[in-house]
Amino acid sequence: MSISPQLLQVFSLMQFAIPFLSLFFARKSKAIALFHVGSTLTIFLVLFFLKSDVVVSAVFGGWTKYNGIQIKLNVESVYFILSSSIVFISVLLYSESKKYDDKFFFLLELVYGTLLNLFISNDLFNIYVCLELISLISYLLISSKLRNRQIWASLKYMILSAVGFNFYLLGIAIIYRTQGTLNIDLLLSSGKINDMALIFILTAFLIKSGAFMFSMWLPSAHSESEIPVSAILSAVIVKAGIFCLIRTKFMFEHSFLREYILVIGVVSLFAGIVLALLQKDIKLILAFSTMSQVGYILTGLYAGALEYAFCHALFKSSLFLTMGLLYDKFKTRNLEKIYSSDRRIHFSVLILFSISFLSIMGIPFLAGFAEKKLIFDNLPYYFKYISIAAAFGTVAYLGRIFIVILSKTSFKGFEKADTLKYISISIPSFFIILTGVKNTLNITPSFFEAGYFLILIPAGLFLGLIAIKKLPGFFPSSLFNISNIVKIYVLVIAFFVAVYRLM
Amino acid sequence: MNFDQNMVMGIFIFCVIFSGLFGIITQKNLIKKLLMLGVMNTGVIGFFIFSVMGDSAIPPIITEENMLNAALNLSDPLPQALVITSVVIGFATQSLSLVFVMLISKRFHSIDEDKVEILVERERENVD
Repeated sequence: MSISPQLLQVFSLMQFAIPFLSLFFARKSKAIALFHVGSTLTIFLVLFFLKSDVVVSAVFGGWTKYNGIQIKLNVESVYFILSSSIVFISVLLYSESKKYDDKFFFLLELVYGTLLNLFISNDLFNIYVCLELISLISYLLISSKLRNRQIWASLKYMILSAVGFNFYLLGIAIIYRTQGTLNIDLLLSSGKINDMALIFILTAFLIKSGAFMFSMWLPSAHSESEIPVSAILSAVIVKAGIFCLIRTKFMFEHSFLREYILVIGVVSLFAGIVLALLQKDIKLILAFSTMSQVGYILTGLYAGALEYAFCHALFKSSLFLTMGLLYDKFKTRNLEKIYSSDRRIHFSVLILFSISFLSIMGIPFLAGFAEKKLIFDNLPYYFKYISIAAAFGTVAYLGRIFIVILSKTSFKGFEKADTLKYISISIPSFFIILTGVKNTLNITPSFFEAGYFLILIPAGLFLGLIAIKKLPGFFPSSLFNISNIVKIYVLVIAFFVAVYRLM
Repeated sequence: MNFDQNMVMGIFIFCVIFSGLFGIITQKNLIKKLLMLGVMNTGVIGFFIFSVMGDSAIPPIITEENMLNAALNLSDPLPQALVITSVVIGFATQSLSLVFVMLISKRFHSIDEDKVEILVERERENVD
């Protein structure tokens, strides 16, 4: 089985054509969106199981790759397309049961099409255009209900990513001057790339990808937007930045920046955990959890990031949608108020939550275990202790939500109207178990690695239990001020430039 | 020290980018912040053009006089295609963010960054 370059070009253009179909047939926009995502998911699942090491590239308009726009489908693209398709199909089913208008579905589908185009683009400028389009649509999606806080979160995101894109343009201008091309295949063989350009490009990608200090727009955008949008933001749109880092990782490989990516990853890992432990808003806990998980992905950028990003998309979308079920029942996002409420939820919420909760911790036979092992095996030995410390934190902040759900569970009260929501959440859960079983059988973990969670779960739950009745609810808003964040960018860039000059 | 045209141009573009960045940091008024973002974007586009501009290159337009001149020092035509795209995207972002600032000024009766942040914070605490 092979894919011809022409087919890839048609695939790329279809991603913009199909969403606009739903503009003309506005009544059918949900059906068109489901068909679009579902057919793409089916095609790529078949492709993944038949031939996972596929490489196809094509250049638009009969040009050569020296002066045309090249697109390329390879393993990275297949992983990201699969994860975003799974997330989108579950989010579409979830929002079907909510009353969103046709415009919302059109925007969802357009952002999906653009994401697929980003995942096959092989050109630094094409990446810029796709990322900008994704950002523009996500500003609209975040503020889809036009609530005050949504507008503010969206504007903040807009200004910060505009600054980031300006840095990115500076970086690619330098690359175009020194290497004479922006094509990633040609850059791979064109020798060492200017470090100044790499500093700018790395800053821009980190702003998009949710790392601590760079992506301070993330908590407010994730927590204020609607539940389906939060799921997409955390599972897919943050991954767009990660994908760009993975596509261009060869540029940082022999540069001094490689060590700093590791440092930023570790800082992000722990800062996310500390900030998540201090929250009482369930969506803010998950937003900071995204920040800390991005830390894992950044530390494993050269081994395991691809696989872990796939798993993170699955369990984080599932977690956010489960929080939607909680919010529908208790009408509040405050963990203390949920704990003191006298309502009850059906135990299937607990099951769905625990699948993704166990998966994020890295339990064998669930997605995340084999991938975490892959990341840690390729890092310095002391990193193992860091990772165990981080695992305690992860269990502690999510364990609080787990305990609250456990205390509210009953076997009665299943609402038939919610069936579609349960089905939509069980789609990522199904893939979590599937990939988990498939990947765990392929590796041989040591005794400690397979059993560390036996100590981890009780200890982490105990840590989480300590402060369940009185949570601080600490939100350092001065850290999330636009001016202060841009100051941080300037300081980080100045720091990198200083390191580069001194070396 | 020889101040040639390129060097003056480079210093000028650096000043434009830096003043834009400085404005984004120091201005608390959201409209002024967005204007400074526009200034920075202009500087970046200028840098894009400047960085690929060869020494004493002429615009890449083939006319009847220079058609047969093989030794012509034409500048690279690709960057302007890239820059036009980023100008359009910059325009879209700018107009969308102005719409949002308009909504903010309607709802909060202020476009001062710190005041809006405090109001949003208060709203968050009241709801939870």
